[in-house]
Amino acid sequence: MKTFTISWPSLGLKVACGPVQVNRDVFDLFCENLPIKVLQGHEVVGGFMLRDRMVRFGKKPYDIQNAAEEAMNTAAEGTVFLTAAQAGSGELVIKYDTCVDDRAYIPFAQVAGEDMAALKKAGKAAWKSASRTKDVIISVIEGV
Amino acid sequence: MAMDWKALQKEIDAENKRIIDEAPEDIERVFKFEIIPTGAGTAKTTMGVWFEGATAARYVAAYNTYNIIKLGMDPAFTLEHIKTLVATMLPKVTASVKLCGYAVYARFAEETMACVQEMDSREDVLSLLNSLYLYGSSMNAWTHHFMKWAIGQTTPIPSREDCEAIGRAASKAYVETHV
Repeated sequence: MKTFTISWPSLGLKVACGPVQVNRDVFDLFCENLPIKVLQGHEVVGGFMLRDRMVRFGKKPYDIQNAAEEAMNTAAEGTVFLTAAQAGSGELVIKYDTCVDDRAYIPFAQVAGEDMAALKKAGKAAWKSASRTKDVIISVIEGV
Repeated sequence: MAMDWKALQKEIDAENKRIIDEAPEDIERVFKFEIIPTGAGTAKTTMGVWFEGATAARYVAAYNTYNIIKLGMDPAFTLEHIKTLVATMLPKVTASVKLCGYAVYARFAEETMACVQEMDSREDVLSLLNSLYLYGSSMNAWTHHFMKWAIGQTTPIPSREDCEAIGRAASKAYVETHV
């Protein structure tokens, strides 16, 4: 398994993600835990980021102590972050537009450039759900 | 005597599986239907309960239990250290969760705290804490989903132009009412 995709079946959207080399071990361990199904949330403080708050690593819990971190506000759009890498579950944050959050998390994957438009559509739909409609959007993450 | 920790973990894990795409009843009750069985909510208002409850729900899981797990994975921390961390870092914030209507979450956390004090394997303790951590993360996720963020649209952050206009209006009001 070399890459993974994130899809939102109810939205008819899918994006492909490749590794961020500096945290290749985090990426590989993430892939070993796929597939993952999670409620799609949205960041409500720091800006325009998708946020999955209950990502479970049921196959291989994380125990990576020295993963590299990067501030989210200066990271490239499309960067996929893991908030913590030492437990059996964690949170996933995907920057899809501007954000001011200077907290540093673990960048381990990057959404493919050709899929950025789809990612932004998913982001807008998630914000609409969070702020108005409350539609439940499920995200499915699968290895390729 | 605390309940059997394996039975507790089995119950928590079953809930963890059920609430992936089905909202927990506690969250629907408090955040969707605005029913708070504990009577919390000063003067029958919801915002305090939502604010305090949502914050505490996140602290039990992401800030406290996660960091106990993280420290517990360091061999320098003994089983007794982990027990002390659990007894120190979880009771107060769990009480906040309970007050704000997260009945099941509070019960799971309380029973976990009780079980941990009687357990004799650090691996088992970390496994049980991981189950609670995931449950708390799920509660945090659903809380965020049902929180009525649209209320924020009634208090938009003012622009520079807004601030300048507010300043001019305040200045004018001061002159007119204090001369």
